[in-house]
Amino acid sequence: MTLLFNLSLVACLLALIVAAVNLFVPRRPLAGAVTLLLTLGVLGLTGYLGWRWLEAGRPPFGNMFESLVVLAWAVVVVYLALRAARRIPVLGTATALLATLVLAYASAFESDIQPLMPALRSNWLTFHVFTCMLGYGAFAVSFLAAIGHLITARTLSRASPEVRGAFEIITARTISFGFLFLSVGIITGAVWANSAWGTYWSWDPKETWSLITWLVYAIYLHCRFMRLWLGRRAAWIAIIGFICVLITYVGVNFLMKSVHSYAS
Amino acid sequence: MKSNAGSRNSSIRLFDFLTSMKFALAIVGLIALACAVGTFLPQGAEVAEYLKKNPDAEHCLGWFTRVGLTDVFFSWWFLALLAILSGNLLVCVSRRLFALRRATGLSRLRIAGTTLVHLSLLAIFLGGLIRGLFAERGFIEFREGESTTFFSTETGRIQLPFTVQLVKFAIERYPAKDDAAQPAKDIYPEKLVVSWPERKLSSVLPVAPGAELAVAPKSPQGVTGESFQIRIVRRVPDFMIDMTTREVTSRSDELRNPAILVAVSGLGGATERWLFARYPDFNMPPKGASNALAIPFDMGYEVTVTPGRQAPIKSFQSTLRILKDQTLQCEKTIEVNAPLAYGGYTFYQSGYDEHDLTWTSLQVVRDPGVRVVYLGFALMTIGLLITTYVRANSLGCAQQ
Repeated sequence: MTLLFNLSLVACLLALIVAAVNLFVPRRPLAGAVTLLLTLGVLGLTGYLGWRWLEAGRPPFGNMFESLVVLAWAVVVVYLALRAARRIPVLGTATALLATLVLAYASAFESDIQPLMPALRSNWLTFHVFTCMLGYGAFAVSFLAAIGHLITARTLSRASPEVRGAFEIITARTISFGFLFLSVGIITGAVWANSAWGTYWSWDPKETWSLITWLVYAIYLHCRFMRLWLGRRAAWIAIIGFICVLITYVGVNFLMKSVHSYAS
Repeated sequence: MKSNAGSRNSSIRLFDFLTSMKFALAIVGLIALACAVGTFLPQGAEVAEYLKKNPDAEHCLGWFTRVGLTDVFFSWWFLALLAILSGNLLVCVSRRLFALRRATGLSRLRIAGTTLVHLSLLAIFLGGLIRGLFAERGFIEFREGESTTFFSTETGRIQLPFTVQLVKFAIERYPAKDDAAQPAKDIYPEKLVVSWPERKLSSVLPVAPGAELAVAPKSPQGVTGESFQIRIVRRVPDFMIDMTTREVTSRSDELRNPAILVAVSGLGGATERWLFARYPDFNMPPKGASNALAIPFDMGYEVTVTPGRQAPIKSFQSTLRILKDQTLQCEKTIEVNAPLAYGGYTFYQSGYDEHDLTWTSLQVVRDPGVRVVYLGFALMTIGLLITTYVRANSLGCAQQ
């Protein structure tokens, strides 16, 4: 079944190549092929995760390899769910690149199915990891859109205000969606921690960085939706937010002592 | 009159500023920054451990400690930031409730959603405050068959209004691996490591009573110098000493506190030392030992683990009974993720000793603020579902 994982990786890689070629062809005739390849990739990942779930008899969220596969799945699902995103070919290229990189990074980790340690044997694992990963996936797409917004604001300031506007809307929409899932992820994590360790919050580095991420995106949402900061300033907050996501997800595992050390 | 009106105006302006969204966002930014600092600098009990490893950092950390940066999350200024944010949120919620009465349609739904989210934060802060003021937290350590009516905390003991009894402790493992190359169970090879860096000497002696090792290093000039004879006199798996007679015995056959008695003899005389695997920096002479010989090299007693075919632990469980006036109130088998709640206290499975499977440790918590925090979680989830739905719709309209 590792074949299914490899095929998904190849589908994302092909989507990246086709999307990159499409950028240089007038009228972008290959946009449909990019969507098709990404859809095939996500279907392959769904099948692979489903197989792991059946094989292990538990949800496939037990280690870094599995969570990275879920993250790649979430990034592509969020992109495909955004109808507006398909009008911006460069976002498809960036999504395919990100999904390919995440899956390639996952390949560096141990992919054997391991039994869960006692603390992870809980139904909360499914809700907590899935909601967090869906949130991270949305934030990853928002990051790509915010970068796109900044680049178009600098280089195409007069040429394509529509594209810039679409980037801004995608950033806001994905952050709004990701914020809901990050919040539910933090809440489910807190309820789980309380049932496992008797404390819903212990200022563990992973918890604290997820709170920092939540606060940064809360600032973004207030600035964007209360029209305090729009455009490039808001895009910069979105980028800072995603840097916080990276520290929460990867940085803490390697830099700090955390109760989430099994995730590294 | 003018002066009164002016002062009233400036008070109103100050109130408006303190309750404004911009001010709240600045506070949120400061809280995020403080949280980041709290994850990079050692906090609380970690400070002593950090200083032990990095003694040069004492001056720098001392400065950080004075401004509360080594205990960020419990410092007065961090709590003050949370209090200021709570005040701002309270005014924000009141204003939104007024606005809610006048709003209609999608706008009414949006305001209801954001009000719930802001209200949820107040509930979570309140729950945290209740925890800080009234929560009790500690632990119980006992063996099968033992009972207790109190639990220990960092500062002392707290009496329970009932008795807790450990009926049984058990470990459940996953199915064993089928690998004949590995031993059936974990084994613990023991060795005595002798190192004399100045003479570039390092030797290892497998531990067994009577085992001997000759230490005869060469000097830097290549000449054999002073030589020593090391002999393992005694091995004790679970060291215990009677402080009056200084007699050493083993509490059990398990490797809970392994120690070896080592005799060293040389030209200058002889001496003996107890070495401990779990306390490598500590050693002690036995009763009536001669201290005639100064040992110029280091000796360490090490116990390592060679994992066996034994599969990883799936769960560890304690069967507990709650008794009141000698009457059984309830019995439950607890494990990680499945605690026992009784009489306002919750008992969590916390730890065990793989070498003594009759022993268990439980965490005991009484936190009356948890329900308020959970109410906050529920309000936040509902509020965010509403606001995300409204935003998706309004953004969709804007796009079209």
